[in-house]
Amino acid sequence: MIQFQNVKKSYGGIKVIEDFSLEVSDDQIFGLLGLPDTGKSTLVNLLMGLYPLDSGHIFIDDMEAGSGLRRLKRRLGYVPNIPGVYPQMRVGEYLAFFASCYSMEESRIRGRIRLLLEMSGLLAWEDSAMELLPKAALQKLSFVRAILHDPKILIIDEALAGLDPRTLEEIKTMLLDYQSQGKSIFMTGSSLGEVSDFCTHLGFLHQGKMIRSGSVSQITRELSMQNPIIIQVQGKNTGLMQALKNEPKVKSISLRENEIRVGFSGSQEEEAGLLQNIVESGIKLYSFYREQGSIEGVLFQKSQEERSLLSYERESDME
Amino acid sequence: MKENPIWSKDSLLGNRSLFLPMLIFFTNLLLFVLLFGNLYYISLNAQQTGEIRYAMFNRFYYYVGSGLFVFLLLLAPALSASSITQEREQNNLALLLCTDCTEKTILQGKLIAYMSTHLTLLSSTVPFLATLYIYGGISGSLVLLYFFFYIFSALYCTALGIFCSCLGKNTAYSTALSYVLEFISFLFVFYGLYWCRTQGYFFYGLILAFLFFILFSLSFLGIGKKYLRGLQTN
Repeated sequence: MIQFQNVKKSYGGIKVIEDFSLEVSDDQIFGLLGLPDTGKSTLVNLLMGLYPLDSGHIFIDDMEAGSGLRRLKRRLGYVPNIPGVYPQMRVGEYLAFFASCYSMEESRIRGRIRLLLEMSGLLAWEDSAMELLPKAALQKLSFVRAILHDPKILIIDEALAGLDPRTLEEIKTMLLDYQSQGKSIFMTGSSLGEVSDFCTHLGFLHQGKMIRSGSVSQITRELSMQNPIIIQVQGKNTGLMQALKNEPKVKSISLRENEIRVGFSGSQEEEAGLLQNIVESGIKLYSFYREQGSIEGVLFQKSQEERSLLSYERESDME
Repeated sequence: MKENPIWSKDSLLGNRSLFLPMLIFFTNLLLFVLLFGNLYYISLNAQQTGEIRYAMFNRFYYYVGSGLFVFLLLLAPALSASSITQEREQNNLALLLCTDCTEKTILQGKLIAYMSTHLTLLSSTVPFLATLYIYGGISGSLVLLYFFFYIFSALYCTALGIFCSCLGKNTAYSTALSYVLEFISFLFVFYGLYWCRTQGYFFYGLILAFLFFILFSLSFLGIGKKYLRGLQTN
């Protein structure tokens, strides 16, 4: 289990992390999302004990992060944003080096390396110098290095960004397989699409604070409920417009090319009721769905709220 | 005792490159030029004057010894000033700190790796240094003294380079800083030795110099350990 308790961190007077609290249970795949420069990598560095905290605590299985305990370090596997490289070193040697850094038994190292290289599809590169590896292979190697010593918790710092779809799928399969062995994964990212289909829980970081967190289904439902319903009909939409105007939960209607965007504030059951009413009124529709939520949507809404608060305060000052 | 993984890695990568063989070659070439150039000058002088001035053989000690020492002073910071900055630039330092490797392990491994290079270089020059004993009229104890002074200076310069590497944001900055600090500190050491010699306390001056090298090497490594993670984290 990972516990962040009122964590604060500043650099040169600039607050990067402000009163951050979070609990990640065992067996979870937790995705922490946020726009660039919101403190995600700082949190990861604090979690790994690479930076000291200004205040607060971070506990990993009741051990304090940064305590330097060997049994704590062996529980964590770290995948950074940019993979570390020794250009002249061969892939097998690189993994053997890190295995020795983790004090793994000599007898286990060779077998473990071969197994992981086979699982990740990198066996053919075992005797190749790292400088010859393409970016996708380097990123996979970074994951292999992180799980070499079989850690309980894998910490991933935006390592999925910029990967091609095939490599992304391969890595996700590796991670899901890893999590199925009872491990936890804590990862950061900037895009909901990267993480939402395999994370179990999500959190949103904005200006050093957690603004929203919960299970993926809960979050995506909340995000989606704020987004418009997109309706596309065959033929004229006059009947549909009339039907929509009669619905009390319909807050706005707008036309965009051949799409009708409906701001609907009702629950899922009321949404189903709306669909039923439209179909029963004889309108032929071929598309009815909620627009997908995005991290930008969550954070834009947060920024809008802050701007409204700021303008209210300015008006009060002027009075 | 378990082998330091950082040292093993640096040795492995060092053996793959041509750097050490080329270094040994050029160092010995330099000593060859100094030694046999001097021998040639002595024999030429003997042909012209008809006498062999045996005192001129003492020059071997100064030319060869000082030539090798100056080479060390130029080489050591260049080698060790990139020790930590290169790990940082290659994004490996954070990964190493997340393993069982502590700051102490990393610095120890780097120190041993670079000292091996210096000792290998010194060993390769033994035939030339032996001529100082055979032809230079120098006692064995003086040659041995030279060896120790070289080794302790190499230790000091390596520790200084590693310290600057811990402080530096990049290799260029740490290399420049280590050359400046090395120049200042050896100016201080040589002036101190010269003063002790003029006062008749040369032996005690040497002991103080050795103590200076050891204490400051340990201090540099101790302070460097604190700054290994980068200045912005403190």
